[in-house]
Amino acid sequence: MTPLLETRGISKTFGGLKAVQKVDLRVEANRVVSVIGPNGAGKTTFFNCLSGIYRPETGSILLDGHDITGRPPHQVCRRGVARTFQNIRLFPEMSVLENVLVAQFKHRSKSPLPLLAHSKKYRIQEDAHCEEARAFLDFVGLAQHADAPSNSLAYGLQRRLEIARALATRPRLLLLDEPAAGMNPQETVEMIQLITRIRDRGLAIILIEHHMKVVMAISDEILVLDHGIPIAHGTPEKVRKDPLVIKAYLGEEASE
Amino acid sequence: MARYRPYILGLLGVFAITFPFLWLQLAPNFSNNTVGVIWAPQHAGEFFGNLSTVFVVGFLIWVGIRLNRRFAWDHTLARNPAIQKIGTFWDNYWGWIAVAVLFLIVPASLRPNGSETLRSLGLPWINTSTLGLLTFVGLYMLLAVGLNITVGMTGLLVLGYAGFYAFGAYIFALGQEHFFFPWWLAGPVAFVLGGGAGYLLGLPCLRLRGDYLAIVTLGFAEAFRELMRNLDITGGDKGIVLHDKFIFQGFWGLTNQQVGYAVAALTLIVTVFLIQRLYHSPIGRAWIAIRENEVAAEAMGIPVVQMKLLAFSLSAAVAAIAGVVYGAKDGFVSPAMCEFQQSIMILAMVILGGLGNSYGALLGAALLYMVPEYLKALPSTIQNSPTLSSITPQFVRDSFEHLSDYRWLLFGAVMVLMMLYRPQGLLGTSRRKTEMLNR
Repeated sequence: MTPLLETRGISKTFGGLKAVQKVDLRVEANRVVSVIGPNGAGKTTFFNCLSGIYRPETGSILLDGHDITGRPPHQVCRRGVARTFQNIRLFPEMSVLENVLVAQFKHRSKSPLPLLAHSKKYRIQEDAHCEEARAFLDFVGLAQHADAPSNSLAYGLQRRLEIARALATRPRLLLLDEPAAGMNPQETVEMIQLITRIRDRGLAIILIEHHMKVVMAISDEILVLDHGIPIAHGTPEKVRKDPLVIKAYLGEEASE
Repeated sequence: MARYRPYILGLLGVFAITFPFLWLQLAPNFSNNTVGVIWAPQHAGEFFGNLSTVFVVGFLIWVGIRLNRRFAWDHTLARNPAIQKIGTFWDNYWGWIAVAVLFLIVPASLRPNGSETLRSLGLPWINTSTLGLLTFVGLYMLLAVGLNITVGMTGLLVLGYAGFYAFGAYIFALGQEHFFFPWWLAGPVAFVLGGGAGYLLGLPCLRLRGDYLAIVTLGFAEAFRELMRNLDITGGDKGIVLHDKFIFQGFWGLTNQQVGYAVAALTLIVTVFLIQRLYHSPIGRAWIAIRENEVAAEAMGIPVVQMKLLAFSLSAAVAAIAGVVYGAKDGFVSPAMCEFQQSIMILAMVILGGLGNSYGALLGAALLYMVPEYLKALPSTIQNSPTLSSITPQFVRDSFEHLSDYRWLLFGAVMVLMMLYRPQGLLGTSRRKTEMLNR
């Protein structure tokens, strides 16, 4: 059986800097894979390659066996990969609901005549998508903020909105770039629950995270990058005991 | 005191800069062929006297902005239910209200001297000649609304928008010279060709990040103007005078003027209606998403290049239609239509009204076109109205004499004030208004 996502030796360099080197990864549906590593290890570059923002120099990315290497981001999204951003990238002047509505673009009929004439079919579709968007907001716990401007949300809620927006593209694979960054313990626990619930919907999740609590709690697999090189890959228990990882990154945590 | 330091310094700066021009005068002495400099404060007095009107108008605009800040909230968030109700009513019926208002002007225009009541109040009255003025207001509204798609909604700067306006006008002029088509056929043709021109122009530069579109359109407008000035079939600088039978003709008892006005008004209403439909559709949301954050928009599955091309082609097509209406109204097409100043004027209308808001663009176009015209007519209006001339002091009347000479100065000042105190424009977008409410 082909995995949902498979990367085969993808590499990306910036000038002389080898940001990502020969990363192999297989992700199945219903699984959470975490990518960890010290700052500058190439985690976000890896995400940017997966979501089409960067084109890897070597290697290939297969989604359900289809090669999506070098496709522009919107086509990658169309194939079912959605992502959130480490530095939040919402549409600040839109309302919370509209942020989610934007992400439904690829499911919407854009044929001009029904759209301009507001045909009955179009209005039914519009209502249905609004309902769906509200359902996503409800899912991440933002239902009561639907009409607020998105830049008025608290930081933690903005991260949740990014997840709702990504879910609205109806992805099969969700890339979460540090979803728990800057959150207090209570919010972190809630974020763990949210990610678990998303996984239970049948999505595959790749997670970049610095909070070891989050990573150890929900990961099925962990990939450790250091200077762009994958140095360990396996279950949390295995990675936790790996001497290379301890040396590169987990030193203090492992000695606790 | 420290609060006012920049203002005082600025004022001193103005005095310093204007000193040689306003306070001194060159005095040639012909007996020994020398030129001396003499003290001539009367120029400065005249200048600052004229400038006082600038402050009068600036004050009125400031009052308008304050009132707007108080009342122009997003009606869905307004705490006062009456404002909510009015807002919803406007959303549902604005089209019909606009049709009614715009077309009530047609019967009113039958009276050659206009309405006595309005005239005594010094308001612009509706008569045969002001109908022509209103037609041009409609045209500029059309241009502003069209430009707003690209500049306001999608967030791409366009500096040569008048190029497409002239493009449409020349399609009409050349078409009726060589293929004999009337304005109602030229409109759709110009829409398609103008859109096509916009598409081709956008194709290379919209793939790149950054403001390349601004430079490319600026170049297009200039190149188009030079081309039209130098081709034989376009009549060079003299332009093309159109055949009478292809421009707006009166029918059913309507005059030429009224037909022109009605066509402009109808085109405007239909265009605004369709643009508003797009704005509230997935396509409009995609445009705004691109403006707000291009990277995120693309990652959410929006084909950014196609959507930008669509926005820009639509803008260009609307301008081309406006060009046809202009040609059919004025009966004369010349390269002066796509001067840089024209493009900047349209851009200023969009910025003044509020980037991204079609109604704002309408308001901006009306203000920036009507205010100079109105200022030009103001001295004679005061002169002719007994009420106004009795209440207006002589020095105000004197300074109004020169007001329209200072309109570019006024525009500059208004633009700077807008950028400082209300960067979202007079109306802004409802989205921006929600932001204001939370402050």
